[in-house]
Amino acid sequence: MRRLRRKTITRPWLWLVRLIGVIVPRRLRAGWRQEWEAELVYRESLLTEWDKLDRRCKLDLLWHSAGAFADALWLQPKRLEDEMFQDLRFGARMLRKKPGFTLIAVLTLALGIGANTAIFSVVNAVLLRSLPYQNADELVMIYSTNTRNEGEGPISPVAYLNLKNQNGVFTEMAAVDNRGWAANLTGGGEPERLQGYKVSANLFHMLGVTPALGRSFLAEEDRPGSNHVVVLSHELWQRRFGGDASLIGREINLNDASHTVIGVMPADFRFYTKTDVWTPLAFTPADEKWDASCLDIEARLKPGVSVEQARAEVAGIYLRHLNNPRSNSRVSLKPLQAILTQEVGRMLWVLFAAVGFVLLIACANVANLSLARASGRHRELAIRTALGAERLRVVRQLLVESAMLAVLGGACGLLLAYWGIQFLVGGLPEYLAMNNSRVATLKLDAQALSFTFALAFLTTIIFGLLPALQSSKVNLNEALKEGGRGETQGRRQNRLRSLLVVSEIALAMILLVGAGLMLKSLWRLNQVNLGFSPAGALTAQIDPTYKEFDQVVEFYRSLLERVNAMPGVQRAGVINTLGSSWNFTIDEHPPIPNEQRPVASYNHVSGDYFPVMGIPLRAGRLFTDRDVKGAPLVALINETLARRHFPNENPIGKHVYYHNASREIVGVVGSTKFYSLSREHFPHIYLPYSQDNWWSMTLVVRAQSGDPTNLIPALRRELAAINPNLPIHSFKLLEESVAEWSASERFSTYLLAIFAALAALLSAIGIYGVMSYATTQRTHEIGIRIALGARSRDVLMLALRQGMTLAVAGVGLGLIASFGLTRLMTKLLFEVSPTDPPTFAAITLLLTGVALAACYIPARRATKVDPLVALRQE
Amino acid sequence: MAKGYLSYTMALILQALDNGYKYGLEVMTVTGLASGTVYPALRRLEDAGYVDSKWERQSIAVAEQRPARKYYEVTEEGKEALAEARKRFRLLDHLDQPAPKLKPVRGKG
Repeated sequence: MRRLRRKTITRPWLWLVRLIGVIVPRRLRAGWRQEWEAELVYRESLLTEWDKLDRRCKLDLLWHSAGAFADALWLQPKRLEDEMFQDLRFGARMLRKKPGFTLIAVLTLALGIGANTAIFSVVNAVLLRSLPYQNADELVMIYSTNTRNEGEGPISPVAYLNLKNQNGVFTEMAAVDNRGWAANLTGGGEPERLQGYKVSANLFHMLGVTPALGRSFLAEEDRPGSNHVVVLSHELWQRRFGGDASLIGREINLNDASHTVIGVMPADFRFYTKTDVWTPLAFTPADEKWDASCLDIEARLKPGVSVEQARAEVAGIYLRHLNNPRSNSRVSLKPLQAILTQEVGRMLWVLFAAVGFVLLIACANVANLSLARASGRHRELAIRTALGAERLRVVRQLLVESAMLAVLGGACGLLLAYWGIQFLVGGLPEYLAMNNSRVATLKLDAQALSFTFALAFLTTIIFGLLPALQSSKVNLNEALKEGGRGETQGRRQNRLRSLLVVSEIALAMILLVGAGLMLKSLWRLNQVNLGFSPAGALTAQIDPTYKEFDQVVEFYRSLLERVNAMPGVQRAGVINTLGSSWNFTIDEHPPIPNEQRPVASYNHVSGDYFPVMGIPLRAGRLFTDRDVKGAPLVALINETLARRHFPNENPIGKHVYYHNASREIVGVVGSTKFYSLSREHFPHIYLPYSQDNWWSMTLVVRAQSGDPTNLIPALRRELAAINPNLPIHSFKLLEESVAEWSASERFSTYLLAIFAALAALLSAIGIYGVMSYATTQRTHEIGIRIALGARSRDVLMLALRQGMTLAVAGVGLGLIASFGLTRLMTKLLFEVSPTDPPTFAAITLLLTGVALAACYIPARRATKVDPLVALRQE
Repeated sequence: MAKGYLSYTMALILQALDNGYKYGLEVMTVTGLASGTVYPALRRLEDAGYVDSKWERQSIAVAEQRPARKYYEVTEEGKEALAEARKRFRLLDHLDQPAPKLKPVRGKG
């Protein structure tokens, strides 16, 4: 051995290996060096044995020992692994040692991350991901509007054909009859009402979707006569026909006419609302001249054509088509995705921002906790530094601890998100869930997962970096001194913590104000006077398929007679569900140009409808059995129309020209809200169902007492007695329908309120944490004050003042920010100003109160300080 | 290193070990690969579980007045991987002979 060591001096290759060994991770270094030395010595001894240890061999040995460098380099990752592992193990030990801290931090982060992941999943599915059609970004929807750009309406067939023939910007255009196509399926089981749509034959081709089974429509199938073909939804095919593939080519009976089934769409295909069946939209020559707006137009842009170019082109064609410079009617277009998501988009972004705030508050809270804990670990960190830990290493150690918290929080957050998504899918407004096939199948997907982990990483940086940098700045002298408190550091840390608390409160303030405004708006919505009383009324759909209109009238007459005679029924009436709007003129008034004619919506009803709904008759009479075809045409108007167009005269006996006929106004009824609580009252005209051709009706039944759904079996019996082949369906309480009109507002408001409450709670925890920490730190000082004669009230005020300064600063900042931010919510609010003073005042009081309560507990504790104990601590 | 797939170099080294060349240096000599290639490759094979390493008994090293050497052995798993690799690399057959007596060093001081 001795000889070996002596020899080493003259053997530079061994020195080289030792030198290189420095960069080998310490754990592996001894073994590594020995292996290489042994190898080199062995090689050397071989060479010696062959008597060949000349200069060239020595160089060769040196060269080979340099190969050790590559070997050593390869071991570098292990070094990181080692230290990482150490950090992780140590971190886990630290987290286990303080279970309270860990639990609170993980839960706080889980709430923040979970809420974010859940909302992100929805935002991603609804707003970010493109529609499930081929090159969906090329798809646009063309709609009619007016010069004031108010709303989007359908387009008439004649305008559609003009646009289709004259444009140079679309590869394809397709139309959908937005009135829907109610199809009664009969034969082979219970009659069933299907929801159908008439669509252009090329619609599926334009969307780039092919049927899962069979084919889609042929171009020649959109002509009257050859259009008795249908494509079924996957759902209907499974439910009604048991997924029988031989159904393709067979005939089914819809509305008493035979239709050939030619295809079945894929299971995940959605277009518009839930649809069971599609049939080609066939224009008769009369339709082609028809001027009524009933078509939704979708089109695919030619590659390279921008939305603006296309918009300009269709607007130009439409103006030429109108050939009337004074008309205020216009057409425009928007990307299909924007149309489908515009109602919900704004709300989702607000919610997304809200959960973002919640996460920020959560981060601030955890950062605060970490800071508080770090000052407790002051001594530990100082010792580690004294023993030679670099600052980077200390920061890394602290960051690893934070990352562990974030990952734990992220994992729990995923669980919360999973539940949250279940909840969201259940509660999402129906129109959204339907428009968007992906919402129905919304789940935690890879994108959401990566979002969560990116979030966990980001939160680590946000809440971990500041405390880590702060606490790694160790003043060894101070920290290691017996009883040294490191006052300077404490003050700087306190400032940082105060800053965090102030921003937390400010964020919570913004959220609370937003939620407060939404709650007030919802309350206003619920206070809206509907104009009818929904309680105790039941509605159901009936779609008779008689050929002759007289039969339809007779059918409804006898149905109403029978239902009105049913025990338990107070009164029953019918109304057609799908009303639309027409221009009208008043015969007795001076004529007005076409384009300035006012618009009124309308419904066909029976005279009983008004008492059933509780709509008051203000003047004149209701419809009677004598208002039939052949009798003078009559109409009822609502108060809004009466006030607007007959301000100083009696409308009774006047005539409106509406729906292609002049009708005598026989009465005025109260205005009602329908489908939307927030929309203003609109001029409305009621026509007797017995004077205009209309088949499908909604039956409204008011029960005498008790639950109106008890009437359903009897109603079915009465209908079957008249015609056993007619389905009656969609039974619904009127109250439920009314609740649905504000469902989306209610849902998003409650969500926002939950997030705001969460934010308030978190910031209360934050201010409590800071205050109780500050009080503990000042125990000594408070002890002296009490010893010098301070009363407990003085001490209380001292502690409260400190906390309330933070709270007031936060609330003030939050107020300023809210004034700026709530303006973005204007469109979401109903009859509430975005700077509604009572809401702002109430929220200010609320949050200040919460902060006061959070400060009071530690302040109260401060007054209990025993000066003897406090001073003995030194 | 992805399990189950051996590069040619790796297969070559594994084959050399399987043939009875037990030390890194021997592997280098017989394969003609550079030391900067062989050692990292051995570590990777070891990580993948294809190769086991053992230290030479200390008594032998002391008797020969040199540091104890580390020698490598192919595991069962390694043999399987090698058999698979040989199907791809026909050239390995040329190495398919038992280790020649590479000059014993025993007794040398």
